[in-house]
Amino acid sequence: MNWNGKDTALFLQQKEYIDTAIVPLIPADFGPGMIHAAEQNEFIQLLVAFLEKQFKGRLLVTPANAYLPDRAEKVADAAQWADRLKETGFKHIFFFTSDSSWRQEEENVSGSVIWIPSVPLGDMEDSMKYSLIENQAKQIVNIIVQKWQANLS
Amino acid sequence: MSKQPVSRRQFLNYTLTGVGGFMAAGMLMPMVRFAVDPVLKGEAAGDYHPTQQKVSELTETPVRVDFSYEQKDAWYTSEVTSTAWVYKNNKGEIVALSPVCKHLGCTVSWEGNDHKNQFFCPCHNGLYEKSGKNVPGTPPLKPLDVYPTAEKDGLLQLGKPQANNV
Repeated sequence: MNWNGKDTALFLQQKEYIDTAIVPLIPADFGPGMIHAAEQNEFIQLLVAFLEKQFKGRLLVTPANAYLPDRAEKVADAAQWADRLKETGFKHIFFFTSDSSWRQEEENVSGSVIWIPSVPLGDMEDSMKYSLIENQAKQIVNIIVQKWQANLS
Repeated sequence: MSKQPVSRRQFLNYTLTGVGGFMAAGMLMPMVRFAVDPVLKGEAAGDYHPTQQKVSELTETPVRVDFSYEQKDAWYTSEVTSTAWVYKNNKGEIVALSPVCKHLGCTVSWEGNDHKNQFFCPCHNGLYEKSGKNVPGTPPLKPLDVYPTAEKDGLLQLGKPQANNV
């Protein structure tokens, strides 16, 4: 499910089936790191779009949590997002980011932080882009499915 | 004057027939064109998207066929990639099934998670038979959609997915 009117309406009807939320964590760097931050956004959004296509019926992609890179409360913010999502009924919460500052923060937010180093996609041909994203996403597909199955048993 | 091979009467007759003929043709042509228009349109049938799959290489085992085409969403044009599961049934006809689960829209895979001879949906364990028919007792309530297929230069072409009546 995407973050739009139609999908969220369906989500509210079918809540019991949709138990997973994906939150992209995107640094909003308006300084010298701008290009890198924008590339991370491009990469994460494409990756998340692919996962949404695979698992449309079980996960909701929330709006991206964008933060200023030096914001002290960014971890607390993300934790709050996770708590609210849990209150709404989500059992599994995945944060997707390319920002390496999140690598040690998993225990501070009540969800899984999936850190994937971003690849600059700028001038790449579309077919190349798709196969690259697909390869990355396939590994994440496994992580998500394992998480679902771990919860079953 | 009578020695002339064409008389005045004949000349007028010929000219009138000729001009009249052109006028009649000018009126009838557009009418005929309109009348046969549906036939001409039928031949064009432009709604098929080409794929890279050779029809001769299809077997009884479903294979994944990816194809992409341009889609316009308001002012935003994007390249969309779609997938189909394609195989030949026991009558030798080509069957192309949409991988979109009829439950909540996840992507199903052939023999996923060790379900022999079935399509499996990883989200809520939905199952479909090879024909696309949903297995009762699993979440999906309708069979998988089916693509109309066409062949051009030995390559498979796929149309818009339609409801499946199996």
